[in-house]
Amino acid sequence: MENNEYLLKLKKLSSTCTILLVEDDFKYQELILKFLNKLFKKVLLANDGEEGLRLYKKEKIDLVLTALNLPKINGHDMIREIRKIHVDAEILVLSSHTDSSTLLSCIHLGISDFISKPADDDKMIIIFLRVLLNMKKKDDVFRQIRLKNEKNEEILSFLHENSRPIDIINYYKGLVFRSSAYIKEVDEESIKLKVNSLQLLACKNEGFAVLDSSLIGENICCSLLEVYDDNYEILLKKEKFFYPKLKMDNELILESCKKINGFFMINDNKVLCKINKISKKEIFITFEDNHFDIKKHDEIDFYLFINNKTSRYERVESIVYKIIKKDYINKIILLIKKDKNIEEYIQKYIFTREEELLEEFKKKFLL
Amino acid sequence: MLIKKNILALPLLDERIKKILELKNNKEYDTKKLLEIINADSSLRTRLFYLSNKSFFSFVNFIQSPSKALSLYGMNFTSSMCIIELIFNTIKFDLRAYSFSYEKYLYLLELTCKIINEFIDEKEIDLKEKLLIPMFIYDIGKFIISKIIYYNKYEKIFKREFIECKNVQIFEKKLFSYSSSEISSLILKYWSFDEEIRDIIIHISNPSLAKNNKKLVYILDIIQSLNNLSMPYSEHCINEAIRKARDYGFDFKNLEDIINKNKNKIRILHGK
Repeated sequence: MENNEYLLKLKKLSSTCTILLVEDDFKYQELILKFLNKLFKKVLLANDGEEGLRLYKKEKIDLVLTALNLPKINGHDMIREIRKIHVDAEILVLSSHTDSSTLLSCIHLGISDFISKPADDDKMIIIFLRVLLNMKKKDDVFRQIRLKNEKNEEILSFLHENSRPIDIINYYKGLVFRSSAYIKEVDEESIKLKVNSLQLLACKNEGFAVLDSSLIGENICCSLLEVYDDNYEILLKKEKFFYPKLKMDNELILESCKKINGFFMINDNKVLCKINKISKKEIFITFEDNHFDIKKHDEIDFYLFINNKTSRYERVESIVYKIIKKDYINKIILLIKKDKNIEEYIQKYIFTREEELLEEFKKKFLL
Repeated sequence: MLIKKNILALPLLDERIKKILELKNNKEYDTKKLLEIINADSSLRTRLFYLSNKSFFSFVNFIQSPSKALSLYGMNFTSSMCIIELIFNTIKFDLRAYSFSYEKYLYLLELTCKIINEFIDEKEIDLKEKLLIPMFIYDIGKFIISKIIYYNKYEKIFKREFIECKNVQIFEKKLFSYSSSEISSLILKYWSFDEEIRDIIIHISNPSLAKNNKKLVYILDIIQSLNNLSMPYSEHCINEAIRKARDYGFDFKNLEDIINKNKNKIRILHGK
């Protein structure tokens, strides 16, 4: 009963696929062809690796089922050549090998699965079903990505054709530079923008930029290819579309400086910390590993020191959100519990630091 | 041709300037919307705090939130400062030919802003506020001149002649057929910027031709004399500014007193 169900599922999936069988053993060919012909839309047969490769190049093949010991070109070499044509090609291996090194070398070639000889129908149904289900999943994901990318590309072309601005974002030590830019040229891989002077400098400094339009749900991460100073233009390579973690600048996370530090108490020990980044909601701290038992969701009273006019320690009630351990250094992200006074205290620091950073940036990059 | 080519190469004006101008000109001051724009841009926030907390304006309280700065300065001043900042972020700062760094130029503008603010009667708030944007941007045309001079490697000849020139606008006009304030006005035209401000700026090099906002144009002419980049706040420049103030019917003695009161700040400008 169960196998019937699987068979029905398999038929549904395989009935639109073309499979290439590469096998030099006539007895085996006959047996497997009988099975495949019942399921697949089209079954192609090759008697050696060379013919297999030729057929793969000539026809539109969805799945390859191949033996390893083949005349002219052996199975391993044929798989390697097929991979050069389609890195994602789905390949199943028919093997009588029990030798682990032979099987291992097949795994390195990235094959989808094995069918051991002699293979019975039940085993083949399960393996084919697994492989075809994976193929379908992959297809669905690709289709979605393709649709999304096509939609995003269309929006970019629309912005270009209608001279509508797109936001460009750069960072300098956590300081956000955001302004509107105009698309001069756009194709599948790159985008040329006219940007303002400050953004041009920030982009040159960073070598990257993020593009954001309210018309696109995702942001586009781009690397800088070329700068045309005289025309305030930059050529960017579109690297990837991504969902931004933060869309609001007031959630910005500034890189810290020497003016700020802190500590927390654990088992009567004072643990001094360096503050790497800070926002109104999070503090990213590092401290040396002293084998303190800190777990995710632990509540910690963190004492924050900002060297300003008041210069005092402020108790910040927080919760451990993330722990990263590396080379005897603990890196921890603390989530700050809602407290208006603390928010204001940190906000003041952020504003002051922003001012310093902008001044530093302008001194460094403006003529 | 060179001037035109360089103006056409400029980026378009930030969309936010239009929004801020609309908010500024709307009588139902929408401070919430202005704060939204300020809060989303670190350069605008920073500019406001800088102005609030620098000794130039002598405020006692330490301002550390955009809303406090807005309530202290009011809608007009705050939005004007935002517009100025966004314009300075748009066009590439370049005064190499005039041997002026960004820091020094900003100091000069702020010094003049302080002096002129003291000079104009407290009752003339409208005049003060209307003057703010042109006072900061009337000379952005110089950035284009400086760029062209450097691009064509004329800087040595330019600097040599520039140091000796008494009237920068005439000197610029001789070289490029346009004075820098006229180029500034062309830039603003390219950006479709506020027509009234454009009209004020284009008449700085020839105030007698101004039909509207004459008083504003006269004050900008005085400012131009003080800010003469070949020798800002030199004895010659101060005397020229005072003479102009007298000719235009202003209280020139008051201007002289205010300049004298700010001698220390002028000394800093001169690097003393």
